[in-house]
Amino acid sequence: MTRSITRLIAILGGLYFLLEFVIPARMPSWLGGFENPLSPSLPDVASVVQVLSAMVFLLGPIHLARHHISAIIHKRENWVGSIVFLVSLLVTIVAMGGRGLTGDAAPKAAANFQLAFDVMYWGVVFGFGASSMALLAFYLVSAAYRAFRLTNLDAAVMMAAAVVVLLGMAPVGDWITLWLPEAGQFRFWARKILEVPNTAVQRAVLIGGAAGGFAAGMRLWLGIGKRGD
Amino acid sequence: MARWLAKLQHIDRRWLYLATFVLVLVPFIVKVPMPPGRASPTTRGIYETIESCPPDKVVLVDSSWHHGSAAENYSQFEAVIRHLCLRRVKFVVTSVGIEPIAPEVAQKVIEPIADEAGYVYGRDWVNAGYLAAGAPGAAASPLGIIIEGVCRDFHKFYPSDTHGTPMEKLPLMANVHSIEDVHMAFCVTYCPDPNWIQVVQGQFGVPVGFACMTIMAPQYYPYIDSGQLCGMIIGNTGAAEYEYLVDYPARGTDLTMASSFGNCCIILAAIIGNIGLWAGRKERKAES
Amino acid sequence: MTHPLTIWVGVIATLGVFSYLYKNNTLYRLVQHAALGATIGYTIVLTWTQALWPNWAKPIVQALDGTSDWTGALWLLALAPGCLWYFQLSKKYFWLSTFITSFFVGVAAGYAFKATLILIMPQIGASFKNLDPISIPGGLSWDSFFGCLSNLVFLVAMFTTLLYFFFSINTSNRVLRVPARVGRISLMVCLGGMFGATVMTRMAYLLERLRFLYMDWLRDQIIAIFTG
Repeated sequence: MTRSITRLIAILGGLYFLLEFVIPARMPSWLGGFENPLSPSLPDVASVVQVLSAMVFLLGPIHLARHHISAIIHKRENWVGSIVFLVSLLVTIVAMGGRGLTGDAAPKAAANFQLAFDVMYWGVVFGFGASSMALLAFYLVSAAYRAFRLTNLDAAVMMAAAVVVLLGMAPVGDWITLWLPEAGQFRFWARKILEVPNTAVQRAVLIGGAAGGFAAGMRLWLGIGKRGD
Repeated sequence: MARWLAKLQHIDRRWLYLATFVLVLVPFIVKVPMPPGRASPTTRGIYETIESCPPDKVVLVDSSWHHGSAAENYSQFEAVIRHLCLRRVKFVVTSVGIEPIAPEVAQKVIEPIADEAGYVYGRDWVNAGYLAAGAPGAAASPLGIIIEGVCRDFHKFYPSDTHGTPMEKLPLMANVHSIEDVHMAFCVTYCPDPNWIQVVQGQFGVPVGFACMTIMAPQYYPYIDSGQLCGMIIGNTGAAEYEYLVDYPARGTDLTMASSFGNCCIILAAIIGNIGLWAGRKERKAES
Repeated sequence: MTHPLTIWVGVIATLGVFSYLYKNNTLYRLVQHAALGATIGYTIVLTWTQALWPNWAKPIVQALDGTSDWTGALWLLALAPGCLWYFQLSKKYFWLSTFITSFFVGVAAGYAFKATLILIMPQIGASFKNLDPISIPGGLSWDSFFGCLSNLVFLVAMFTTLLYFFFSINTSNRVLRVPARVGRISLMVCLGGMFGATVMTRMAYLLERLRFLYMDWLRDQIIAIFTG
């Protein structure tokens, strides 16, 4: 019963957009000549979809808060980190609420709350987020050292293309080959690699992937499949 | 000799990390000369499209980047905003996607540039704010639907700007109601969504440009080739090219200069690893 | 102008993360938890203030207190489907959340029909490239010749990739072996280009942090103290 209802909801949910696209903007005169009745309501439907998609915003925080509060109560491993999580969460919410203070006493208080938020976001979050990604650079050097072995023609072709792109997209390639005519410069060949074989392969993958994705999407929408049938 | 070279296979990774750290720090301490500036066709595409903006239209800048992609998006965004301000093109900043902090990050980057250029908020530029377009747990994001809704009726989705000011109080927004008032849509984020292309360019015929991280750039080349994208700023290299076009070297130029050293690190690491492998094989063959 | 406290906290967070390269440690874990807490905090506040309050809650409040049209109160109906998300937290009533999930799956699938056609059809059209250098405006020249040669390489790479990947044909027979091999080499060139792009991005992350550490902290905060 639940499966039938979910399938019906999925079909109805997609039907509006499918019909809005399939029905012409204006019907031929022999069919009445009227305009597509679904298009004018698209902003309203999109607005509803936007609000419903935003309403999920507390789901993740509730899950995390439950997990960390449970870790603190039961003193599980790394429970101090859970305290830091909750304190950081509350400080950020209070700082963001305090930023909007108005009134005579408020400018200094609002400035302090703004500083607290700046420290939390531009200091902690920005510092952590950007640095976590920066660790990948070190791992890449390590991977290049350990794993990039030129053992066959395919690997050699791939590495040659990578080296040309790396040198062509940075000033070092210009330092090395600027004195050559354009067709001899790393920059030229890096662009050619991206514009010709890369584009060809990406387009082939895009077209093939779109065909497969389209078929999978239709199966998903209509609920056709192993469990559906 | 082969025995000594074979030892190159066994370097502790922490020495590699230290060597990388030291090598890529060099260009920040020692001023390294840049080769003569040039701009690729993809970067020029964005520049020329903005240059051709008529005075009665705005550029829609979708800024959905944050700390996770600031490494390249910061310099790209800064370069384009500077161009818009210097060229006196009015712009509206949106953040349609999954990152609620994006409008604040954009505001922090735009404010000093706008102040320097004498741009007034509300008259010359507006930060419309964040629109949720992701549904964690659902099979797919409704981003395309929301973009289409914004294109058809901007004020329905943005009744106020990011600071809560009603749109009717902002003089610029009196003339911006739908995609017809937009000259170009420009998306800056880690991985701009192709729904921008299908809605804005495909359905409404308005040019779309992307600024993305270098890692994502190869997958957008088919759209450049087909003309669906008017241009693309690729990573810090693209930002440096854009700064060359607006004649204002800044962060992008600094970082792309330093990237030469980083790229050489990777190439050297691969060469050293392969030399070690070759020497090790030769040594084993000699022993057997 | 960034406050010095923000810069110093940023430096502690950055060095705390970099300390993970040596080994996992307490400072790294504390920074990680603090960043996660702050991220959740701003997500909650900003989603409410930027997305839900102006588009959902404010029209309801204004309709109920009479400052705007009564139709704003219809947004109250969104509360029922919106709350279905939270049944994912319950083991017993989890099945209720599948209704809202299936709605979004259906919406995405229905819209994908339109999105895919509008996005992909121009791709197919753009694949028909000119192979005749004489027909190009300006006539036969080295530029038009190499342009058409690029187009030929493009077409060969595209079709051999489709052959290698998608057409599900057994490529071990003699006729198809060469095209499949060409497709594989094209893929290797593409992957090499993508790898080069990946390296550029990963390095950019590190360079941005080093720029912050050297310029914003070491040069502007520490060295400035001594140089005045």
